Amino acid sequence: MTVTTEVRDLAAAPAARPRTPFSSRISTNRFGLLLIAPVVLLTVAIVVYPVAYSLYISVTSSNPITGTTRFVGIENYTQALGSGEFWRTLLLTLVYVLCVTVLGTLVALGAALLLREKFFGRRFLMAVIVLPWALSTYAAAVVWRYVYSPQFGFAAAVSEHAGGSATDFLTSSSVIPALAAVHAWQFAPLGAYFLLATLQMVPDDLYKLAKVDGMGVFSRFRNVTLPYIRVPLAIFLVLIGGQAATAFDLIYFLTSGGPGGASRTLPFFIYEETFQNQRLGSGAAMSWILLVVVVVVTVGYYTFALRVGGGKTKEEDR
Amino acid sequence: MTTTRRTFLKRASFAALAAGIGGPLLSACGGSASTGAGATSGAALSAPSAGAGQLNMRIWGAFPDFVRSQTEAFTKAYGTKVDLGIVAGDYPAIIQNQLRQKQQLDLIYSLGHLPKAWRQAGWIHDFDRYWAKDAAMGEMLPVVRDALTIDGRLIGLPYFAFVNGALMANKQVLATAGLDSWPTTYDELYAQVRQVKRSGASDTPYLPSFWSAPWYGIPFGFVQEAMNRGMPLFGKGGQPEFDESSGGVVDMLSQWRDLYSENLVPKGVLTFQESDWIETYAAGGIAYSPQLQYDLRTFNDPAKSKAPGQFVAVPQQGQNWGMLHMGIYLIGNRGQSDEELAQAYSLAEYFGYRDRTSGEFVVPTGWAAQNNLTQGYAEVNNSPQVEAAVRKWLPDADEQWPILKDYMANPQYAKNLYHTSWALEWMSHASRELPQAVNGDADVKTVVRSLREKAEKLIQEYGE
Repeated sequence: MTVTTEVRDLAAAPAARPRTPFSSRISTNRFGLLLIAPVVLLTVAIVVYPVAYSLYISVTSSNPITGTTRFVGIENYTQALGSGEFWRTLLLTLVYVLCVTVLGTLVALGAALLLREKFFGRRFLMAVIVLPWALSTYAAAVVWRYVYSPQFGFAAAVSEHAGGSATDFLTSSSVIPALAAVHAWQFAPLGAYFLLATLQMVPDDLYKLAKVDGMGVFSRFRNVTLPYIRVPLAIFLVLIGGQAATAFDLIYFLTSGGPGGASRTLPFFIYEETFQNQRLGSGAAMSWILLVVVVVVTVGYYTFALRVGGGKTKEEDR
Repeated sequence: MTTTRRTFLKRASFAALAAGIGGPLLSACGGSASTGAGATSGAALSAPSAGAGQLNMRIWGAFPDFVRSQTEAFTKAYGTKVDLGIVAGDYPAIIQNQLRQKQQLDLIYSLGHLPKAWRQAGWIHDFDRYWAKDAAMGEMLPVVRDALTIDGRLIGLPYFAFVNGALMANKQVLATAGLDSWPTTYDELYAQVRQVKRSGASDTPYLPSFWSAPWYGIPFGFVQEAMNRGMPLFGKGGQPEFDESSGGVVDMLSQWRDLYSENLVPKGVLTFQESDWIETYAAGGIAYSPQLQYDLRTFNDPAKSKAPGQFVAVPQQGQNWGMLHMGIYLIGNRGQSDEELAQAYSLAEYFGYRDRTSGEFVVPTGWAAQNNLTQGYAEVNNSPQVEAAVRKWLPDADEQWPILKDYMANPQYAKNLYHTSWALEWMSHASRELPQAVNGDADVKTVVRSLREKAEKLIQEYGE
C-alpha cells in the first residue's frame, strides 16, 4: 500500500529538477551588485548624504537667531578666500602639515630601519613602539600637557635638574613644532610598521653586494632601501599629511588654538565658525576649500614622487 | 600586480579625498534645524500633582555625583525619572548645536552670556509660566535677578552665583615678602606683585586670568578687570564704549603686557586650562591671583593644596575685585506640551529654588554647604548651616566670613555684554586677540581696535 502510493505520487509530480540557487538565476553582475548593495546604502547614508548636504550648506547662509536660511551661491567661498584670517589659518595648517610629515616620517623610517636589525629586545621594542598609536588623542594630549607644562612638566623637571630653567614649549613661536612633535609621536608607529613590512622583503644579499661595491650607509639606503620602500613611504606620507591637514582634537585638547590663535589651524577655524559661531555656511565652504587643497597637494605630491622615482614602481623595476 | 602611473594617481586622489573628507563631514554635523525667535506664552502653569515620563538633564562635568544623588532624590520625591548626561568638552558649542537640532533637552546648565541668543532663537523656554516665578524672583539677590531677566522675562533659575576674579592672597608668600597691607586698586596690586618679586619671596608672584578658552578665561578676566577699574566696556545694547585712542583699556592691556614681559606671571599661562590655573595657585609660591570665589575651598583643602590654611580673600576697599559669575538652569524648547513643561519647571525648581514638598532650599543649600558653591539667594548663602560648613575650612574665619559675604553683597555684572545675542562670539574673538596683546605678538592698540570692530560688526549682523 505504501509503495503504491509513493509510486502514484511520484508519477503525479512533475519531473523533479535540482533546485537552482538564486545566485545562479541572475547574472554575475547583478549578483555582485546585490552583494554590495548594503554597503553602498550605508555609504550613501553616512558619507555621501552628509557630504552632499555639506555642499548644500556651503552655498547657503543661515541666521541662527532668526532661523532664516537663504541661498547665497559662492558667496561663502569668495568671502573665505578674501579673508586674511582664512589665509593665515591655511598657511598655519600647511606649516603644521609640513612639520608633522617631516617629523613623523623621520621617526617612522628610523624606527623601521632599527627594527629591521636583529638585536636583543627587538621584539619587546616592536610591541612597545605601537603604544603611542594605541592611545586615544585625548590621552596623548593629557600626557603631553604634563610633558610640556613649565610648572609640573617632565621637560621642565629635566631642564631644572640639569641646571637650566623651565621652558614654555607652547609659546606662539614654538607651539606648532611642539604640537607637530606630539602628532608625529602618535602617528609614527603606524608608519614604522608600514615600512618595516616592506623592509623585511629586501634580500640581505643586496646589502652584502652593495657593501662589496663599496657603498656607504647613505648610498646603500638610497640605492637599495629606498627603491623598495618608495611606494609604502609615499602612501604613509599621504596618510600622515592628510591626517595633519584635518587635525583638530589634539590642538583642541592641548592649546585650544592658542596662545592667541598661534595654533589655530584651518580645521580649528572651521570648528569655531561652524559650532561656536553657528556660521554653518562659512564653515562648510572652508571645509570644501580644505578638501580641494588636500586633494591638489596630494596628487601633486604623488606626481612628484613618481617622477623622482622614474615613474616606475617596485614591481616594474623588477 | 603592477601599478601604473594612472592607477597610482587615481588611488592617490581617492586617498586624499578620504583624508580630507573629514572637514565636509564635520561641517555637515552642524545641522540646520532652526526655529526663529519665540517666547513661552500662555497662562501660568500649575505645579504638577504627580510625576510623569522622563526628563533629560545635561550638565558639564562638575560634581556629577552630587547632581546624580539629587536627581535620584527628585525622582523618589516627585515620581519623574531624570536621565542625567554629562557633556564633556566644549559645552556651549555642543549644547548650542543640540538645542538647534531640537534634541530632547529639558534642563541644562548655562553661563550668563549664553541664554540671550538661545532665547532669541527660540531654543529655550523662559520661566514666564513658572508658578512660583514671582516668589523666586523676590528671593533672589537683586544682581542675580537682574542677570536672569532678559527682555523683561525670567529666563532661568540660578545654579550658582559667585565672584569670578575674587582676589585671593597667599599669606605665607606675603609674610615672606614683608607685606602687611592689602592692595585696594589694581595699580597697588601690581606694585605689590613687583615688590614680592624683588623681595625674592616668589619668582612669579601673580597668576592672572590669562588662561585661554573660547568661553572662559582671558575674556572674562578682561571684562572683569575693566569693570573693577570703573571702565564699562559696553553700553546699552552692547555698544562698545572703548577704543584705541582712549587711555583706559589700552593702559590696562599695557600693564598686562608688562606683567608678562617682566616674568611676573607663570610661564605658559596663556595656554593654561582651568585645571592648570587652579593647580598652579594651589601649589603655593604665588602671592596673588584673581580666582573663582568657590575655589577658595580647594586652595585650603589639604588634599588638593600645598599650602592649606594660607589662602584668603583680599577685602574690597572701595573697588570691587571680580564680577558676578552665574550658572543658570535653563529649559530647552523642544515643543513640549504644557504638562511636560510643568514637569521641567518642577525639576528646575527643585534644583534652582525651593523643594516644593518641604519648602526648603534643599539643593542650593547642598551646593553652598558641601561645595562652597554660593547661590543666588541671600537666605542660602547666609544661612547658619552654610556658615557653619564654610567656617570649618576657612582660615581666619572671623575675619574672612564677612569679606566673603561682602564679595556677594554687590558684585558687578557685565550685563550689557552678556545680554546681547553675540556675547559668545565676541568672547571667542577676544580669547584669540587678548593673548596677542599680552605676549607682544600684536600691538595693544591693534588688539583694542580689533575688539571694538568685532563688537560693531556683530551688532550690525545680529542687532543690539
